[in-house]
Amino acid sequence: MRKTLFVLTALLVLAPRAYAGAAKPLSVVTTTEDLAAIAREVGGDRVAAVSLAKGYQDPHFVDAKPSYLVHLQHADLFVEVGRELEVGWAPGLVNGARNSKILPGAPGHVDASAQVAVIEVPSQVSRSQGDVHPFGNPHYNLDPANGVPMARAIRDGLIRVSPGDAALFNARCTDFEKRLTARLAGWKQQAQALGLPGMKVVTYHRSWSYFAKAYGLVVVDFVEPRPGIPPSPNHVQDLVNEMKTGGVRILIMEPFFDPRIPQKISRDTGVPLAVLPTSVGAEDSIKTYFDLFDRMFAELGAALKGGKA
Amino acid sequence: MRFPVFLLSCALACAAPGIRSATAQTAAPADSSVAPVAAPRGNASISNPATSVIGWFQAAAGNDRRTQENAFDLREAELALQSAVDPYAKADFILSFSSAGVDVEEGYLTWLSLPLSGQAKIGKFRGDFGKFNRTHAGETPFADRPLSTLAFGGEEGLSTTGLSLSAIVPTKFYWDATLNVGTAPAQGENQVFAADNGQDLLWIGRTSAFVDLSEASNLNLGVSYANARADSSLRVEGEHAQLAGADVTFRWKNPRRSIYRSLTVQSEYTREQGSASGAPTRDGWFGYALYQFARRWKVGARYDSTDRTTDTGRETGVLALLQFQPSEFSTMSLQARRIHDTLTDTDGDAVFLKWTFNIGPHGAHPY
Repeated sequence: MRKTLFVLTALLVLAPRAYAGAAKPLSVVTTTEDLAAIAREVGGDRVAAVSLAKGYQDPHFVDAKPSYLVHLQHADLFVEVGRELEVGWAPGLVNGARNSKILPGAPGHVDASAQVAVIEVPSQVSRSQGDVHPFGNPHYNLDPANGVPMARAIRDGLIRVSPGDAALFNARCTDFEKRLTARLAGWKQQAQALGLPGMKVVTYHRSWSYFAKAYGLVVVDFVEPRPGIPPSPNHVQDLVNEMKTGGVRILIMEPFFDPRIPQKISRDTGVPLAVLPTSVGAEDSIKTYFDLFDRMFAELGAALKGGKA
Repeated sequence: MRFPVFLLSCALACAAPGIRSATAQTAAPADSSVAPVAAPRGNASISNPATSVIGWFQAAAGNDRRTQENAFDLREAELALQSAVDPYAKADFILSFSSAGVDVEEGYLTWLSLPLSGQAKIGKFRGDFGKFNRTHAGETPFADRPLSTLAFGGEEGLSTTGLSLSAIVPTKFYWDATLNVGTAPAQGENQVFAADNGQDLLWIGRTSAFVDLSEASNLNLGVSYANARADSSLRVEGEHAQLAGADVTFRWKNPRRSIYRSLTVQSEYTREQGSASGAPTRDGWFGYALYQFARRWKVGARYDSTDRTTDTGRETGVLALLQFQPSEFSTMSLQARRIHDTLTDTDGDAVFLKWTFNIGPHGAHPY
């Protein structure tokens, strides 16, 4: 009898913990699909990650829909790109979620840029420059090497909210870093094979600074005259002239902008246009952070060779 | 034997998240989104609240400029100061500078996370009656306020100083409920309500639901109720006056091309009745559509129809607008309005040029 009681008590004390651990993964809500994909790499079965923005959306302009609050309300961890990328929509959602675990400063609030070497931090910020990001260029996800600091920031957040799983998160993060680092050389080789180092390019928005830096592309101009300001006919004409004489080899744009002006520029100059994904989820087939760069190089290769990927 | 144990375990496991959510958060730096960065920060001192100013300049012409006498007017310079107070709360101050003087339009403290998915606000704030009432005049698409909101809410809309409690109802879609209680409007502030003294209270209740119809479209439905001592002119219809309202907002925007096309359709109905039995009712409504047809351009139209509380007349109005946004931070629009008065059977016309501009940190995109 006493033994039965002991077992019962032990079950009562231990079972809920084991049960909760097995049945209820940590709810991770991210602003972008890249972050959700990396959270899945680091968290494995212990996390259920959802992204508020879809990979084919412009992450600057996401409507702060109340339906997002339903996700955020029960989130254990919130992960944002940071550097004011989501300043127009995420802070209001986090404040409205009634979830003290994910408020700024709380253990469940992760800024994925915390350990990233951010570039293009302006020494002076003025709106006369357009919609510049005062804390640096937030499109750091497009250098695959930054997957490492992003994963580490997420790992640190996961460990803060679920210290019991630290060993698992550490191991999975290290494994992800290993697999990612192993692929970096391959992508570099592809870049070299495509002749990217030193190649002059024009891009639509300032999204490609990190990608260009990683692979040696030289961004000579932008379709947007200033960040967030749509191109005027004059600017387009100047750009066409510059591209014709300046040896620009490729025009790169994000999938969420209207392609008509870039298509026209491409026709007028003969410079091929590549619409490159900027995030996991930009196309259905891009499910992991690895897929994203595989797809980017495939699209770049196809555009440079004049075919379709 | 095993089954009851399993049940007990389940119950404990289910209770655990509730216990966890009630624990206080640790005190950490108030804003981790502004991570340290090795760069000069200009004037943006880290301890200052976010400061922005919205200017609202407007030109008006026509024979019915009821909301604006001057041909050119800086209707308002709105100074907004916003910051986290501590890890639990934020504060918002919105000060309005205009020819009428300086007014604390809003000034409140919000506790962001309370038990039962709750939030609480104390201070002066715009009442949660309907959807439109909470939007500051300068930030609406219109040069004026819809006629029914003027008739039942007053020039500045319905606002109060007091307490607001709100909660998210635990359902699969978004559903919230809000209760405001505060000092009733003073004599002359509002057409419907007027306090006898500072002890008279205004009560407002609202519940609204939000559903995504598809990836691109969604629907927001709300009902509201307000009660306070009636304005002296309406006292014959009862000691208290009551407002009931219903609002519906439909939005469409393709997220794959979010900056180029969008549509907003909104309508609000308001009904007023005194507390005496058999008191007459008055009502009014407006509906508008705003369509974005290019990255920087929108067209819109509004229809108004409302009873007046001051006499037995009813007004109907139409307004058309064309809006141009040079950037996210500046908006201009050309608007034309005709109001028909059923009592005198006369029309009044006005045209407006409205220009709003915003300096300071990146404001949230309104939704």
